[in-house]
Amino acid sequence: MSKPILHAQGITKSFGDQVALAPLDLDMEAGKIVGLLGPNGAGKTTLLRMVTGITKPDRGRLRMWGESHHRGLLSRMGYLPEERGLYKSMRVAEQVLYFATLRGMTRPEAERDLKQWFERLEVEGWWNREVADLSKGMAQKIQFIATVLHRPELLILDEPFSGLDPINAALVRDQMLRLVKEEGTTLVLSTHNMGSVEALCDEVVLLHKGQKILSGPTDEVRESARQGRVQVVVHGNLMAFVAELGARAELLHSSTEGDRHTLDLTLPEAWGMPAFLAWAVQHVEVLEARPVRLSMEEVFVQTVESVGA
Amino acid sequence: MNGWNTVLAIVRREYLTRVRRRAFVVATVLGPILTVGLIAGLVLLTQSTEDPVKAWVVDHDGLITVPTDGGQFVPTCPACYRERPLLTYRFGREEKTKEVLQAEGYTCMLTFDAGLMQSEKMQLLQLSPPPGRAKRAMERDFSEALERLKVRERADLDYDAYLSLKTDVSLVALDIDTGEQKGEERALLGFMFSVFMFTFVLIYGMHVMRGVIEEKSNRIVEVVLSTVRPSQLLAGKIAGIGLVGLTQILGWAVLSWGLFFVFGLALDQSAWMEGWAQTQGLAPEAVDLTTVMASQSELAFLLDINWGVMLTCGALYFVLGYALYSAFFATIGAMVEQESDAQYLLLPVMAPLLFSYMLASMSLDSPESTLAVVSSFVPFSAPISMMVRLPMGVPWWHVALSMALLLATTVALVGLAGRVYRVAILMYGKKPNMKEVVRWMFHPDSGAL
Repeated sequence: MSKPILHAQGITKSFGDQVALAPLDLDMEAGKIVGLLGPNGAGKTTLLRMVTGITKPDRGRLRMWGESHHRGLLSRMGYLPEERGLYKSMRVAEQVLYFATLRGMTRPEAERDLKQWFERLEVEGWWNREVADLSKGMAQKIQFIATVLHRPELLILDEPFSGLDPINAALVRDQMLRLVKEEGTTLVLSTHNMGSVEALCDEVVLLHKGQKILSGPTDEVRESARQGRVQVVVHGNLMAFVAELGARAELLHSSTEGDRHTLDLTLPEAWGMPAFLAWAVQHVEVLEARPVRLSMEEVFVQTVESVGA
Repeated sequence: MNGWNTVLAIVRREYLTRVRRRAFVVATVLGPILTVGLIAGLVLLTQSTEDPVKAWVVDHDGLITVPTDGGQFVPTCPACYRERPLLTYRFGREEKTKEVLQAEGYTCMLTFDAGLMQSEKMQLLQLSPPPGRAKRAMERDFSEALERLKVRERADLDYDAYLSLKTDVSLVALDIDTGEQKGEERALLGFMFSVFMFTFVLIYGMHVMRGVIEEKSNRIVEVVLSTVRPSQLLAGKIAGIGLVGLTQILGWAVLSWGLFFVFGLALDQSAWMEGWAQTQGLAPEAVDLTTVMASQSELAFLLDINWGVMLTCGALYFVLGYALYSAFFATIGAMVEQESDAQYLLLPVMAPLLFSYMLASMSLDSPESTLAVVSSFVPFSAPISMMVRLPMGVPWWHVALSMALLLATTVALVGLAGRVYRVAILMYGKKPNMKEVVRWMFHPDSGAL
């Protein structure tokens, strides 16, 4: 097991009568990309604000890099909140350098690194431009640079791709992956974009109403949540097969290509894949059969709905 | 980065982004020039728009005129009617019609008979209303002429002897301990200082509020707070903007001094100064602006004022008063997302400021009244009220006590305001109510890390 970067034990936070975070336990390892998921109001922002030192837990223990959390650790993190902005009356580079100085970088060091980042994100000509002149996508890239310039070991990005066109989103994503791979940065990604979670995250944490309802490696989570989902490709009389299937299993979707029929089914718990196939071959010719992993989106909806119910 | 360096970095940003703005440079440079120019312009304008008055004086009963051989009439006291560019007289016994007056270039006709000695009223028939200055000059001229007449008729004195007996008592107020002169002009100077104080506290307090609203509404505050404490951000912002205010005051002081100096030099070279020196019986070389000022009772006090004390106390009161009020302005800024929402919250902050300004203008007449003294100790009004009293001479312990009270209150209130600020600044979509604000003040949440 690699080094733990974050260890939370029973942390809570309330605002007046409203509980934002019920006692929460959480562990994160260095060098991973962790997806922080949850519907609006699940407590993600509250959790991120505690990690970034903006607020303190009411109760519980929060340890970072093996130490009890303190302000000295904040410069080891970079935080890009979902709602983010820039000072309109400043020039682009001056503003990024200001944040770098606040996070303890010396000016020459920050200027040198900033030049590299301007090249990486293809914004070279913008050094001395007014922030007010930036397009939304351009401002997003500048905010990203301001978040990573001081080489944080833990990078917390809340909806990093919102407002970016596909080309710029790919540019930013590549840089995120480079940081993880080459510099060993740990990345926490808070997003509603499940596609990017599937593509990027090693692990996911799903919060709902201030509680952790699901967590683990992304593949395992999708695997364990598949709950009898199978896809079969059959040859034969589809109508008769579906009639025979009746209420034995739930037919989610079917499509036909020539005389090949593809069916997505959810099997009841009592009916495993082998038993189902043994039954199916009596009615149709089974060409292919495989268990299907749920998409992260399906896992999300299904888990939240089941907890809600 | 340690706490002080963080605050300094914030101060630097707040200061530099503001003093680099064109509007700031223009206001700082043009402020004194515009003020002086405006006053000079007004004076020139009123003078140039005053049309000269030519008065036809009809002395029906020959009270103050005598006929000459040529059938003309001349005043018995020619010295009473000095020739001025603005005002000239011609004398006679007969009234002229409007048409004749117009044709001969008169702008008005003054008529009176022997009854003037009792009534002290004369009629002014005007073709066009004369300027106030000309009217006052006419009143002065004829008063003097009548006075001479009365003195000659009723007493065994000549007019010069009468003048030497004429007495006009004025009160010269002195401090019983120091023997220093106190005067209304001094209170007026103090009032001007307090007007500046009021304006600057208000303007720069509003700057703080706008700065906080900008950070909150464009959501940059969350990024900043993930690096610095709310109290550091608040302190840095207040200090940075306060420095901008001090820079502007300094700029204005230096420029005003420069203008005063240039004005003095120009005046030294001018014909006016030579003329003035002659009327005072002084050698023109020995005269400069300071001598002119010293000779005018309305200006002489400016030379006696202890400017060092005045400016130092002014700067200290500005710093403390500004810190006190801007903590409130910052809190209001943190509670709203746009400036228009701040209007109704501003009233409780503006009220003490306006109240002390009104108190200051009331205490102009009696700068040592109980009200004026008490309000110069109350922290909310001290920066404004004490400035009125200062030029009159105030016991040092009054100033020290007033500043100590102000400092203590500022520290306490900045602390309370900081508690509200740090919660409110992260709250979106909902305006906090008074109950919540009070709760944050006295039962603060766990706050930042």
